[in-house]
Parts: sequence; C-alpha cells; structure tokens
Amino acid sequence: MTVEVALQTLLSALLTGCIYALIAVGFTLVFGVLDIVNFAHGNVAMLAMFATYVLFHAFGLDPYVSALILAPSFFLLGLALYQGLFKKLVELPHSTHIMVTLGLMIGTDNLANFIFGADLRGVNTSYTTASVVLGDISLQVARAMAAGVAVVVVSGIALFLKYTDFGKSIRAAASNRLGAKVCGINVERVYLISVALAVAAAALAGTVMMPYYLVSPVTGHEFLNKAFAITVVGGMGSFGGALVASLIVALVEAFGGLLLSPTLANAIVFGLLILVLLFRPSGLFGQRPIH
Amino acid sequence: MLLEVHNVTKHFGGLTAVNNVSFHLLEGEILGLIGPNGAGKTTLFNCITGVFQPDAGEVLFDGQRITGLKPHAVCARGIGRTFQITKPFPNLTVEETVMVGALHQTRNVSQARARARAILEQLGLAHKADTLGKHLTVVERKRLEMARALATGPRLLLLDEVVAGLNPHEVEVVTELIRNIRNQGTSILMIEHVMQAVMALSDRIVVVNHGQKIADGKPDEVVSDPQVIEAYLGEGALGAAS
Amino acid sequence: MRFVVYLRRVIPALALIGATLVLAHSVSTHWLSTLIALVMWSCNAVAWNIASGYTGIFSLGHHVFFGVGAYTSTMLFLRAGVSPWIGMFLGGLLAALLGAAVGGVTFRYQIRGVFLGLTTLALGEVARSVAAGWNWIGGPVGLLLPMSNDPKNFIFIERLPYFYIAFAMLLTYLGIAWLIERSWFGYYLKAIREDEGAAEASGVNTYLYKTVALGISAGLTGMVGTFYAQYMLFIAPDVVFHFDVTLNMLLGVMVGGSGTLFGPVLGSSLFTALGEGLRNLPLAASARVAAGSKMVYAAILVITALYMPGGIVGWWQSRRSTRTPAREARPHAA
Repeated sequence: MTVEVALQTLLSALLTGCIYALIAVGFTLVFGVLDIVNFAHGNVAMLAMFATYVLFHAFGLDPYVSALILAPSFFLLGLALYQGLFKKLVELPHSTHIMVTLGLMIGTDNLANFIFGADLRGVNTSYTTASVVLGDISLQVARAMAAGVAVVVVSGIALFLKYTDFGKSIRAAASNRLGAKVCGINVERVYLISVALAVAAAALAGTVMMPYYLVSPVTGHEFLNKAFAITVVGGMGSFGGALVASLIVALVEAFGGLLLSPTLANAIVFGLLILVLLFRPSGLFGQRPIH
Repeated sequence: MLLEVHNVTKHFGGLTAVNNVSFHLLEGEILGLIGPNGAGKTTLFNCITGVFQPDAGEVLFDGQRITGLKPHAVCARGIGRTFQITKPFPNLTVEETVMVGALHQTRNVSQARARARAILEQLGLAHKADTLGKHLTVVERKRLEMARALATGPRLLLLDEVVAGLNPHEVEVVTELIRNIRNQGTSILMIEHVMQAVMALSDRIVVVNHGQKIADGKPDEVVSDPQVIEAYLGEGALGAAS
Repeated sequence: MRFVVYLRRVIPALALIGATLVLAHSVSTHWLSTLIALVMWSCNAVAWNIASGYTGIFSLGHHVFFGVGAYTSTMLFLRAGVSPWIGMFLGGLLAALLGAAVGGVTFRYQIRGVFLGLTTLALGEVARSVAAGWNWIGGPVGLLLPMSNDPKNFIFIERLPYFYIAFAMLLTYLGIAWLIERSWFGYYLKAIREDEGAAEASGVNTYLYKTVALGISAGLTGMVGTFYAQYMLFIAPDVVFHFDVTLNMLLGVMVGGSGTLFGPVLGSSLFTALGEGLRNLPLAASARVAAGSKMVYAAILVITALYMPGGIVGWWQSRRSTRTPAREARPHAA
C-alpha cells in the first residue's frame, strides 16, 4: 500500500463516513428517544434513492433539486409513520417492535422489488464522473457535495439538539420519559418530530448519494447494518458517539477492504461489531453496559 | 453476623447514590431500612443482590464475599428479594411464577409445584393460583413478589416496600406474614416507609439519607434521634410510631 | 396427568399422525412433495420457537444455522465420504456451537434483545457473502449431490422415505419442545422471556440458559439443513443462507402461535401451503408474484404483531377463556 493509495482510501472513507453519519443519526435518535429500533430505517434511504431515480428519469430533475422536494416529503411521511404506527409501538414490548419494523422492512424491500425489479439502478448527472485532482489523489465532486450536505445537516441537527428549547426537550425525553412528562414536556410532539426528522435525514442521505451510488431493493440492508454497527460502536443513544463512530466504521470498512478484500467489507464491519460487543459493549461513549 | 455491608459506595455519573454505608444484620433479625425517598435504599439492595457492582466496599454473607456476584449467584447463596416496582411474570400464572422460585430448591417439577402451592397457601394467594400475572392487582403483585422470593428458600429475605399503598388492615395482615416468615427461620431486611410496619416488626433500624447512614440502632433510639427527625422534616412521618 | 385428560389430548394427536401417514401414501408425487415441504419447514419453525416463543430470543439469522448444517454434512459427504446420517449430527453440533457463540457474545452485559436480532440479521448477510466467495465450498454455484439410490448415504430415489424421515424429525422436534415445556428448563426459559431481572433474582442464570436455548434452537435448525440438502440434492449460498429461510420460520411461529407447541406447525404449514400454491399458478412474471406475496406476508406480520400477538393458537386459547382478550394473548414480553 502506497501513501497515495492510503490517502485516497482515507479521503474516501471520510466522505463515506459523513453520509453514514446522516443515516445513523436518525436511527440513533429514534432508538434513543422512543426506544424503538427501526429495522426499516435503511430502507427509507433506499426508497428515497428510487424516488430520486424516478424524478431524474421521468422529469429530468437533478438529485439536488429532488432533495428539495423529497426531504420535506419524507418528513411528512415520517410524521404519518409516527401517527399511524410508531405511536402504538411505544408502549408495546420490544418483541412487537421487532416484528412490526421488520414487517415494514420486508414490505418496502418487496415494494421496491415489485416496482423496479432486482437490478441496480443509477442516475448519470453531468457531475457523476467529475473529479478534482489534489496532488496525487482525486476527489470525486459528487461525493464531496454529498458529504458536504451531510455535514451541514448533521451539524444543524446537533446544534438544534443542543441549543434550542425543543432540541433540549428531545434530549430530556430520551434520557427520562416520565421525568420529561412531569416537567411538562410534550413528549408526544417530541416523539413525532424525532421520527419525522430521522426519516427525512435518511431520505436526504439517499438522495444525495444517487449521483454516485447505485440502488437496488437490497441497498437498504447495507445502510441498516452500518447504522447498527455505528450505534453499537458509538454507544447507545449517544449522538456524539454516533458521529465519531460513523467515521470509524467507514475507516474500518475502507481499510479493511483495501488490506483484506473488497468483497469482505461487510464481514469486516461485522467483525468490528463483534469485537466491540465482546470487549466494550457500552460503546465508545456509552456510560454503562447497554440497557 | 449473617449479612455485613462494609463501606459500600455507588456512583451514577455525578450522583453518589450510596456513600460509604456500613451495617450488619444478625441471623434471625428483622432489620428495617428507612429513609426519605431517593436516599439510596433500593440502590443498596441492588448492590447487595448483584444487580449493581459497588464502586467501593464489600458485602459479606455468612462470612463470605458476595460483592459483585451475579444476581442468580447471590440467590444461590441464600438471599431472596422483592422489587419495589413489582416484576410479575405477565403471561405465567401465579402458581407457575412461584414455581420458578421453587425450582431453585428442587429441579423436580411436581415437588416445585407442591412447594409453590404451600407458599401460596401461606401467603393467602392460593385462590389466585391460575390467574395470569398481568391480571393481578397491585396488592396481589406485591404478595406474589414475596411468594416467589420465599420459594427460593432464602436465609435472608430482602423486602422492598411490600406494604406501600396498603390500607391499615392489609398492612397488619402482611406484617403478620412477615413475622411468620422470620419465625420460620428467614432473616429479613426490609425497606419500608410505612412506620406502622417498621416499628411493629424491626428488631433494629438503619436510617439512610442522601446515600449515607445517619442512624443505626433499636427502634426507640432511632425514632428519637434528632438527625433522623430532621431528615424526615418533622414528626409527621414518625408520629405513627406507637 | 389424569387418564381422561391424557386421552383427550393423545387420541386426536394419534389420529392426526395416522391421517398424515395415510395421506402420504395415497397422494400423487406432486402432493407428496408439498407434504414433505410442509413437514420440513414445520421442523424449522418448531426449532425457532424454542428460542423465540419460549425464551424471547428473536434471532433473525437462523438461516446461518440452516446453511451451516447443510454445508457441513454435504462437504463431509462429498469430500470425505462421511455419511450424511452422521454428517447431520455433526452439522447440527456445529450449528449449535455457533448459536451458542452468537448468544454468548450478545447476551453479555444485558445487551438489548433487539441487538441479537440486528446482529443475527447482519451475520446472515455476512454468511451469504462469505459462502458465495469461498470456492472451496463451491462458491456462488453451490454444491450438487449425486442422484442415486443410496440409503446408507441418506439419498433416496423415492419420495416416500424422505417423508418418513421428515415426519420422524418433526415428531422428535415436537417431543423435544414438549419435554422442554414441562421441565424445569422450560419454566426457567419462560421466566427469562417474561422478565429477566426477576428471573435472575429468583436464581435463574439467565445468561447461561439463554445461550443454551439459542444453541439448541440453532442445532435443530442445522439438522433440518442437512435434510434439505439430502432432499433437494443441491445447495447454494443464495438458497440456504437466504433470509427467506428465517422469514418462513418467523411468519410461521408468529402467525401460528408463538410459545405454543403446535402454533409453529400450524403457521408454518399455512405459509408453506400458500407458497406452494402460488408457485403452481400459471402466472407469467413469477418474480413479481413473489415480491407481491412477500408484501402481503409483511402486512400479515405487522397486523398479527399488533392485533393478534398470540397468533392463531393464542387467539383460540383466549376465546375459550374470557379472561384474556386476543389482543392480550401475548406469550412473549421481550
């Protein structure tokens, strides 16, 4: 491995990590606030990717333009998802969460399969293959733009959670549901917005990936696995942990793939997951063993 | 000494829930553990029974270290416990629930069933033997907690607020039950707010406040201790002590 | 148990067994295949139920154990000439150890139950891609077993022997489940399912027993994998390491009745029959039909989980007792 290859891989991993963060943040948010693990979370990104594909091929819309339509649309979808389904789940046992969100996952997998078939699909924008050369390494424009959007949105969410009143109420509800209610926090609204935000963020991630990434009905599973790995590595419900872990997972995946074998990338991430579960199950930033 | 708690301390992040608490319990005793809400009593129970690992200090049972043992191992040594917020087995019947405790004593299912029935009889729950855990009233759940813990055949039973929320008559009934349990050879450490029960049952009382022990002695001494009175903010809580 | 009650349970069971045997002998080869599929997948469902219905462990990667069983016995047979009769048990053992290992890692430190689901789901996908990339075990193309009449090596020309073996397996699996249910082990598993903290306080070593339960469930599933290999005479990563294997178990158990003895058989048979029926319809775009039917299954899963969590058997049991409305017939509380 030469220095150029290492740097290239590093750059690639950092860019990928930003996108992973955008996906993981929503997953961790719903888990931290509602205590629901959403198996269909990865598929939100997948559906957004297909939607972007359709808008591109049917109306010639550039993905970044579609993002302006899709992000709000998926936000609304998230609101509906909470009102129609997740609201019921909150007081039900975890086994029900698994079955219901798994059902959603399978349903959306096959919806995509039904409409689009199993093949990989992509869009070819004017900048899909554009890249900027920096010394010995090249920077893909599409990936940089996507990472940029991800960074801006994730930072926005972080600031929102930290400094706004509503953001603080989200954090309060995440840490202690009953306590939050007693303090007069409208926990219902917190849940509602958290779910909607999570769905919108995942959708946005998918949309901005389309210029350089292909989608098929199974793409969502990759994202789910990453989101889960990130949540475990970063520590339960820890927002900051999720951010750092996103980069770590992306780096492990990229360098593991480079050093061992590209096809084993997901096995390597899985290996990381097992190692963390074995030796530091609370994750990097978790306070104590998960539960 | 059956139970010895030496300098046990437990932190949760910035909060020190239990701060350097030491006390002991003699075999055959009923020791009351009282203190205002949030004083660290249940945390202390959790440190003794292995739900939490103390950050400092030791717990000895019958002279042997049990600090840091997992809860099932603590149960195996002979300590049973109830939970303040009851934890019934929602989809198992009352009889099956107590059998789970009884199976600790014998692996034979019929023997466990017989033992469970006897204990249900003793605790006045026999008529609810076939009711599912989720259909029990709070009072019945508390009784079930005691039955299940008792079925494991403990030498020491940790009771966490088993008379809370009961009316005076019910309190008397349970008080009598607890006394019987002790008379049959099980020592008792009980967390309680209901002074009627505490004063009627306790051979000695330990008082904690803000995670620290502030009194330890015979009921009359403790009750008239100015620090204790101050901790409870007035005689109201202690007025029922007669 | 009183003799009369005993008879009331045993006679219908014997009648059902007898009827099934008669059926097997009287139907055409085509229907016999369906019957074999029904019985085989029911075995899987019963195995999965031991972990999920009894213990509250929701593994979403049971297809890994299935595949491990299938590949172990097949490789031992093709490469070392070991009879699959023996290979089945070796494969089952390996699958059991793997199940125990997965449990051992994920059950520590009271890690959330959902994490097991996610971990096993990921494990399933890893297994599939690793197997597809591993040429020594055949790679993506898979492995073919020789078609001949070789009973010593668990290969038959006739279908009927396969039926007998599958049926014997099912009865054995049901027997194991029944024995577990009425033993101290079964009580402990159910206690773990209902409330782990309370179970621990009552002397149950939850970590140990959960791991053992998952191991048993995994091992039994592995052995069905071997049967599958010997019956179909072909295995490939995309077939035996496919999530559909777990999905079938899951649907069968959830819809049939989680935590019950016959629920898994009932539910699994329903879905297998549906699947076989769909496959026989003369529809052009069968891939779309498959996708469409899965969407329906997904909806069934969601609706069952929300409104009929006890499954069909749970619903039936709640009808007979006025105390438990169907919606509350929730045998598991993970």
